[in-house]
Amino acid sequence: MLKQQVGYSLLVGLAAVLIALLMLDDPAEQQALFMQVRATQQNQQLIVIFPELRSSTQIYGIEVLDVATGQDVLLMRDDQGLWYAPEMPDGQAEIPALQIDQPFVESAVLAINLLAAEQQYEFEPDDRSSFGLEPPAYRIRFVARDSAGVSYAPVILEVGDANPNDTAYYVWPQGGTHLYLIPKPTIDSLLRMLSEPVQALPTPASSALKSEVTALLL
Amino acid sequence: MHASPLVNRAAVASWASIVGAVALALAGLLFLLQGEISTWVFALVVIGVGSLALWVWWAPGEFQAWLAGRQTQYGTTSILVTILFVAFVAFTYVLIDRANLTVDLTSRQKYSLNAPTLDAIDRLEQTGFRVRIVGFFSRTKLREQEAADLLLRLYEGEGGDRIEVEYIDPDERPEIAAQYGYQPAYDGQFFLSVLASDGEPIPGSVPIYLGGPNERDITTGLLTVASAGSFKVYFTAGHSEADLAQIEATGISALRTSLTGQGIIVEPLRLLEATQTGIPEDASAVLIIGARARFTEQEVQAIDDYVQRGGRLAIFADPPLVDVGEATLTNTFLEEGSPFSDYLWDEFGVRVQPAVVVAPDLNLGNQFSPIVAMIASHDILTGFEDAQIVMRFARPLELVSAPDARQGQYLREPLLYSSEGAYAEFDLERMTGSRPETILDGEDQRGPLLLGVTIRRSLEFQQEAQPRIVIIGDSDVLQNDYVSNFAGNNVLWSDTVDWLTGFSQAVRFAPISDPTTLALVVSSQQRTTIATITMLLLPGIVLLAGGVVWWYRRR
Repeated sequence: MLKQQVGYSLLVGLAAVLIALLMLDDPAEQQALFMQVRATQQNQQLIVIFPELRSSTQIYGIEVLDVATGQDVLLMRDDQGLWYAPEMPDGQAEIPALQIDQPFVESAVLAINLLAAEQQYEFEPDDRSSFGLEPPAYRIRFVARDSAGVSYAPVILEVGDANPNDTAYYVWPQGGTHLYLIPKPTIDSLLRMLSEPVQALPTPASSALKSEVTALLL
Repeated sequence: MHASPLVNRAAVASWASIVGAVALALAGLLFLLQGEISTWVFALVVIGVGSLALWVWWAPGEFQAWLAGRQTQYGTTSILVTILFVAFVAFTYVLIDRANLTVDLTSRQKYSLNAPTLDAIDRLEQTGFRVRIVGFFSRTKLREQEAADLLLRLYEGEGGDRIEVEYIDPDERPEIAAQYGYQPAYDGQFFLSVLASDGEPIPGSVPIYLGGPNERDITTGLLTVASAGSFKVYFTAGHSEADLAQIEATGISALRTSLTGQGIIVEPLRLLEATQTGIPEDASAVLIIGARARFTEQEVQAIDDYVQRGGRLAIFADPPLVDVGEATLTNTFLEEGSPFSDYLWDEFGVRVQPAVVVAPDLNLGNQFSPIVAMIASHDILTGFEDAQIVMRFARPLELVSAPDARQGQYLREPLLYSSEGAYAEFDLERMTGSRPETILDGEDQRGPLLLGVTIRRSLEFQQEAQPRIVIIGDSDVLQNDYVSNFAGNNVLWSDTVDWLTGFSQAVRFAPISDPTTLALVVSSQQRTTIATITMLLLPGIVLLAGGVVWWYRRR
């Protein structure tokens, strides 16, 4: 009986020593280490930026602006869900939906649904210049609505420099607290709207069809 | 009718206790293995808790007996002791890990710093330098960072407050990456910065690129810093030489930057003053780049004194005509009959000819900008024999064909040649004035033309004084835009300085033990295999064996 009590006492004493040693350890340092490991683990996964966007049809307006040159493309969906370019004062002329390359625009807009970051960082406004956001190279603005048809507030994405490894761009959603590192192909597919015409070139087939329809109507 | 003993409540409860215990144990192991509460872990915990609850509900007597039984008391004590022992071992490990205690038990001391590295760290301490080793690792290189840190911690531990190690994610800190001239290929590579008294890199200093995480490259970097100030290169002045301060594309400021970046001191040398005092004893090399005026006999004598005591000299000479369309021949450096030209011929058997190299077939933009067609086998430009070296208004060289006794003391090794289609235009007057022209005629020398040569003593290693000379028939070859844009020009410069001063030999570090990097990077698959064996398979076997024994005894 005595032996058992002595054994238990020794075990409790050892436990107390271990707990005391652990308490003497700097908890702040331990927490920092833990957070670092946790951040590293999180960084291994892609971060979906707009999880509420489940379909590109939720987006009904998009504007891509080259800040340096002022080149601007604005597209809106009409009632049929087709893209058209409204006339802008001192800007683009109106382009009806029939003349817009719909698949091209849809694939570009799909990139917003797929926006996923390789990494995210806490963002301070003072850091803007470090990431090429003073001013940004491009501004991408879009408006979307939820499945019930209620519009979200417009989102403005500021696109800065490519990262040093040249694999991604720094992107900051205006007003946000985080900066995202988004793979280049995703952003490039949006920027293609500036470098490639959004207007569909008339094909012989479509011209012939148009003539046929016109003849029938007459 | 009696129910089968296997299906009565007591038996089911008994089995439930076993299933519950096993499920909870498996859940714990899986959690340790996966590091998260996955669906499987959650399911096993639910099964475990559910089974134990069933056992307590259906067989409360057995549960109470288990709690009060001797076996349980002893078992509880055993579990407590085991937990405390595991905690003690884990805590000891953490303490040792933080204390950075390492013992290298490999026969070749693979995980210890070599003695030359320890010497380099001592030299660093003696010279008073503080350095920061900066490693760039993006998130895709975290495994490599862990492996590299094993080595870097040794440096940090040995260097005390003289050596700091810092890891930077270039994606997170692009502004710092830019300060180091980061490029995508540098992911996983190291740089070295010399720190000022405030603990920050010395303003304006260029970080030294080290390379990968291996002892050879890191120690070479430390030796480079520790050797700072040991080498001194003098650039002659007073003969309209190219200006080291000129930062334009046609200037040569990049040469100063490259030397000072390696800790080599750069000083101007007024040869006129040196005629009284002699060329300083501390001169690792004297460089004459783009001189436009002839050297006096006294200046040549000072150079000869320097060379005879084993001095190292480089001459980058332009032709008498330094640009097309000039009204007169403006460059009198090494002109025929001048003291320096005669000295080079009489002593070393090398003449810098009064001609311009014209290369209609292999050039950069115009025929007066020849591209070197052949690089001879030499310590200079080793490994870069196919690199492009571009010149502008080059001057051909001539070597003595039958050296006399004096000239025979030296070994002349051709270094650079023009293309076969090139020729040396000797009639330079035709290129002066408003309508310059050049044609290949009988008086001109046909290519390939010699454009660069090195000179050293025959059987150099047996000589007490070991002078070395490099003569290149162009100074534009070193101008900023050529050195920046053409790898050949860059290496020609760095190798020339290296061959003359022996800088690389002084800072080169050859590890005594295994020079390979620490091969401790294991793949994700290998990690999983190791974890499965140590955390699942081995405990599983023990558990199974225990279960079998328990089952056997119960029967």
